Amino acid sequence: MVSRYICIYLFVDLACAIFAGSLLLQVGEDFGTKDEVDSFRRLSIVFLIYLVTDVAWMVSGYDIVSLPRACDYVLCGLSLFALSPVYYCWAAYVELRLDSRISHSRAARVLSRVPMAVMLVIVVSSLFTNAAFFIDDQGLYQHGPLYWVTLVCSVGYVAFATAHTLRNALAARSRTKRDRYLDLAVCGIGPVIASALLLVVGSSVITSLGMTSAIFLVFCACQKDSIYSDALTGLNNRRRADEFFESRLSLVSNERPLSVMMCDVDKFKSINDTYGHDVGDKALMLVGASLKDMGDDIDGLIARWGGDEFLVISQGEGLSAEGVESRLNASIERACERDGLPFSFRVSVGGTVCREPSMSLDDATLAADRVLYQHKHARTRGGATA
Amino acid sequence: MSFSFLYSYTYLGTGAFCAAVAFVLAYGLSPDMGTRREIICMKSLLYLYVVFVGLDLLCRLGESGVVAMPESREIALSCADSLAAGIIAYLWTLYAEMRLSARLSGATWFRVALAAPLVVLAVALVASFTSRSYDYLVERPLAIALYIVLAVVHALVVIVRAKTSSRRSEGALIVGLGIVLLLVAVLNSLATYVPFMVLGMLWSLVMVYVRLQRARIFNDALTGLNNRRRADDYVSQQIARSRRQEKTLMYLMDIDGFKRINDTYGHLEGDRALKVVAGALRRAAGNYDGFAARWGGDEFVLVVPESPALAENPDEVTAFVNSALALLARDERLPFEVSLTAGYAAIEPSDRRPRDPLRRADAMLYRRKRELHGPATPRLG
Repeated sequence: MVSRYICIYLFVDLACAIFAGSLLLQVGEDFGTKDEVDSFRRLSIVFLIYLVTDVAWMVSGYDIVSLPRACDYVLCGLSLFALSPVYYCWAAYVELRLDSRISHSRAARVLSRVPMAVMLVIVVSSLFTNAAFFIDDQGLYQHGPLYWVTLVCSVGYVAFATAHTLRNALAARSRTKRDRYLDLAVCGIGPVIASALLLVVGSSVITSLGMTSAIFLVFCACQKDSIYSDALTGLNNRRRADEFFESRLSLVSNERPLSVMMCDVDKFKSINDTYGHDVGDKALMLVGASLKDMGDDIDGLIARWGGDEFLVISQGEGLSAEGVESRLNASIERACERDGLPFSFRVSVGGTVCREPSMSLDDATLAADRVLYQHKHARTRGGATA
Repeated sequence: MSFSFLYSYTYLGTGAFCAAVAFVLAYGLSPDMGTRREIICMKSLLYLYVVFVGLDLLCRLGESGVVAMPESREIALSCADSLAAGIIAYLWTLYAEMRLSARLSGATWFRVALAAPLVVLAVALVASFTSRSYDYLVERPLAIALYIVLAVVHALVVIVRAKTSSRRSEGALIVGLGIVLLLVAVLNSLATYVPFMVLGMLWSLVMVYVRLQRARIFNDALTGLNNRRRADDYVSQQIARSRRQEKTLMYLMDIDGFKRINDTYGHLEGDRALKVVAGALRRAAGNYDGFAARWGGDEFVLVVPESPALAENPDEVTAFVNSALALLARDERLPFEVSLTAGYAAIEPSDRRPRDPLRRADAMLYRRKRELHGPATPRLG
């Protein structure tokens, strides 16, 4: 039975390495922001190193390869310590995704490495003092009196990251933000379960499986973000807008209408012709940024519909097209000044309201487009809006 | 803590992990990842896989004596486990065939013939179950191996005959995964107490899923062509290659009077026109061994290697696309004519970003539009 256990342990560790390695190879620059990509890569690499130390300890500890006792000690200590950086990197990635103060503050980052350092000290000193672990006369691995400290120094990171994510989810004001945080919390379920089992049952390959599941879930979530985001502005793209509208459509009624607003850049073609595509793209990014700022106050979705058209879908009739238009234009004018653009530009917004589930997003955007056209027309004529 | 406990605890944990990942994959499958048949096949595969994980776990726990069970039940579980594995191999091969050749996999005779090894396996398993012996279970690795080898051989044929790199990489994926599956099937029959097959299958399912998701990132939702993101990547690669003296031409094409088509016939007809244009571009990409993408709105990009014939007459490509377009529009019975105007530019080593050759191609396109239609041309920026 011992040999069976060793075989399964080694193979599962190998499988986890192959999983994590395959996903790491697939991560491209379009995975997320540069910081997110770096953080994820770091996590994967540190995890792979942990797997190597885990396998090394297994091989030496069970005498598959006979090594001197000193080697056993070192490998044991190494595999014990190696978990802490893995969970540290996981927490660092979570903090980055939460866009928290900790990820921005240098001091906080330095402080967060203290538990890792403490663990390193204890583990290294165990070689002489048997504080965290030791290998007894029969060659069996035993826990020392300070073993629980090492547990806290690794599992603590997971606990902190999870608690922080859940707290942010509860405190979130908009539904979309709350869903994002909950998704992130779900990604961390693997490490949470693995840590709980680590406390109860002790060291096992379940830890490797838990971390692998987290890496896998995060990878899938980031891929999904890429699928649904517009490459230029970072807003949701048309695909996402379609699916979102479909999902909210079933709940639409007279009392709970869905408002759809189309927004486009005035004279965009001439901006492109006069200043070139680069500046045109910059203008679009500005509009995207201004829309994102408004995003928290909208119970709905903001998307780039295509070209120079943007879409705002929101629940209820609280938002008016005129209100959105003036807010956007004010924000754009400020941004143009701040960024030193050679011109300023305006957007126009036209909206429509869906009161019955039979409308499709195409119909809604067409209707909004018509209102937009009339609005622009009326404005150039100098007359009152329709 | 006995090793018996540790072993079963580990195996259970592995099973839970595999089942959880399989559920995530099944939940994440979306309709635009493939044809309806492909999605149904993949979903059944995933759910059956979860069943297999459970059966495999029970078999192992029984075999190691952790869970006490009479031999007859052990044999029954082994048979069920093997049947599940066989059906999974069948579905896997069917899915691979659907991706490699829609025509072949759509034929009823093919689907029936493909089920033959599975039927043989089922008969062997029934014989094993009724005779309460393990004698006939040798069929299992054979059946699985047969299916996988079939898929791999077909994929190799596709790689050899492929005209586009995306077809080649699709074939390569199936070959790669097939080899891994064969390996774990062999390893599993040598050491049944290690979850080789369970983890090996999961890995291949994850790789396929990741590939399908990537396609969604890089494909335009409406036409299925490469989208702008992918086009940017590709042109950047070509710019790097141009430094090694491989000449490439970049065409920027847009639909004549697209706004008018939309206004007159409606958005739905406009979408149909876009799909037809995409079809014509795909043919051109196949014919000239190039790359086609939807750049945005009604603008398309075609990147082809510059052969001596094209160096002399680059507009040959435009003519090809337009005649393919006319044929396809007729087949689709579009109520209007669709034609493209194109500008082109050679990708130079001095180019730094995709925007550079694009600007040159765009300038030519704009000039041509003015010549053809006069100064007041409605062009989408």
